[in-house]
Amino acid sequence: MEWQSMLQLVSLEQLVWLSITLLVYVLAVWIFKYFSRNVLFHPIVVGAILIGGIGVVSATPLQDYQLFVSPINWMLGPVTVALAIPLYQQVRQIYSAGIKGLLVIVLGGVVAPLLAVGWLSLFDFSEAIKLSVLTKSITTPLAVDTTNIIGGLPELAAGVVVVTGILGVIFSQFIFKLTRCDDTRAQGLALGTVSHAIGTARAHQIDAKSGAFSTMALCVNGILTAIFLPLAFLLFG
Amino acid sequence: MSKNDVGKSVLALITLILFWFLGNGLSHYVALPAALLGLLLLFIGLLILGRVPKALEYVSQFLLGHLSFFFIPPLVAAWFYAEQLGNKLWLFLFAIMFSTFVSLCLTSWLGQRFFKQSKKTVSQDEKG
Repeated sequence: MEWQSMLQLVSLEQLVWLSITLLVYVLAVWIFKYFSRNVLFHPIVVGAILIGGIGVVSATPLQDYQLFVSPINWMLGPVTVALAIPLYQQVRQIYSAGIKGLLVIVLGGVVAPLLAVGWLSLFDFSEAIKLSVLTKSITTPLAVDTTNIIGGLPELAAGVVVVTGILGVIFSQFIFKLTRCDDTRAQGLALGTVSHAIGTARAHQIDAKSGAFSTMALCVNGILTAIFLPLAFLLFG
Repeated sequence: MSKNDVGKSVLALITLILFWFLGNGLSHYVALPAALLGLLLLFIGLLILGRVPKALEYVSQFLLGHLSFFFIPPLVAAWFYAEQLGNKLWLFLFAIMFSTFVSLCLTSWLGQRFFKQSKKTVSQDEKG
C-alpha cells in the first residue's frame, strides 16, 4: 500500500535525528539567552558542537547524519524565499538610503570576498576552496546555492559564512569605536553588509532603526552577490 | 491562535514552498540560485499586491527568526572540511578574519560619513 512505502521513506533513525537536532536547537537558544546573547554562544555554534558531540558518542558518521536531516536542508529553500517579505518592507529604507547607501553595501560586499580570495591565492589552496570564500558575506541559503553554481564547496561555504558572521559581530564592538561610527543606521548597514543574518540579529539588539538598515543591507548584498557571481562565472569562467 | 489562523499560516507556508518550486523551475533556464529566483518572484508578487498578507508576515518572521536552526547541519558538515585543511586551517581562518575586519571598518566608516552628511542636509532643510 502507498502509505506504507511513505512510512519507509521516513525511517526511525531519521525521525530520531530530526528530533535531536530540534531539541539541541531549543537548548542552544536557551544557552544563548542565558549568556545574555553573547555572540560566542551563538545557537548555531553551540548547536553544531552539541550535534558533533552526540554524533561522536553515538558513533554516527557525519555523512549519515547529513542524510537523516536532509529535510532541514530542503526547508532552507522556502525559508530563503521568505526574505522577500523583509525586502518588500524595507523598500522605503532602500529608497531613503539612496545611491550612496547602496554604494556602501556594494563596496563592502566586493572588498570582503576579494581580500579573502587574494590572501588564499598567496598560498597553495585548491580552486574549489578559494571559490568557497566568495560568498562569505551573504546569508547561508543564498551562499550555499551560489557556491554550488560557481563550483565551490557548499558545506565549506556555509562554515565560512557562519564564522564571518560571528567574527563580524565580535569585531564590530571595537571597530565602531575605531571608525567613530555612532549612527545606529550606519552600524546596521555595516553589520548587515558584512555579517548577514548574524549581524542583523545583533543590529536588532542595538535598536529598531539599526535592525531595519541591517535587514536591508543583508537582502541587497545577498541578492546582488547571488546574481553577480553566477553571471560573472558564466561570462568569464 | 484560532483554527482560522492555523489554516492561514499553513497556507502561507505552502505559498513559500510554491514560490521556491517556481524558482526551481525557472533556474533551469536562468543560471541563478533557485531560492533567489523564488525570492525575487515573491517580491514581484508583493509589489503587485501592494501589501504583505498578515499570515505570510507572521510565518516568515517565525522562520527567519529561527534561521539558526537551519544552519546547524551545514556547520556540522563544515567541520569535515576544517579537518581536511589540516595545518592550513589557520591560514584559511586568517583570510576570513582579515577580510571581515577590513570590510567592516570600511562600511562603518563610509556609512557614518554618509549618514552624518544626510543628517546635516535634513537639519538645514528644517532651518530653512
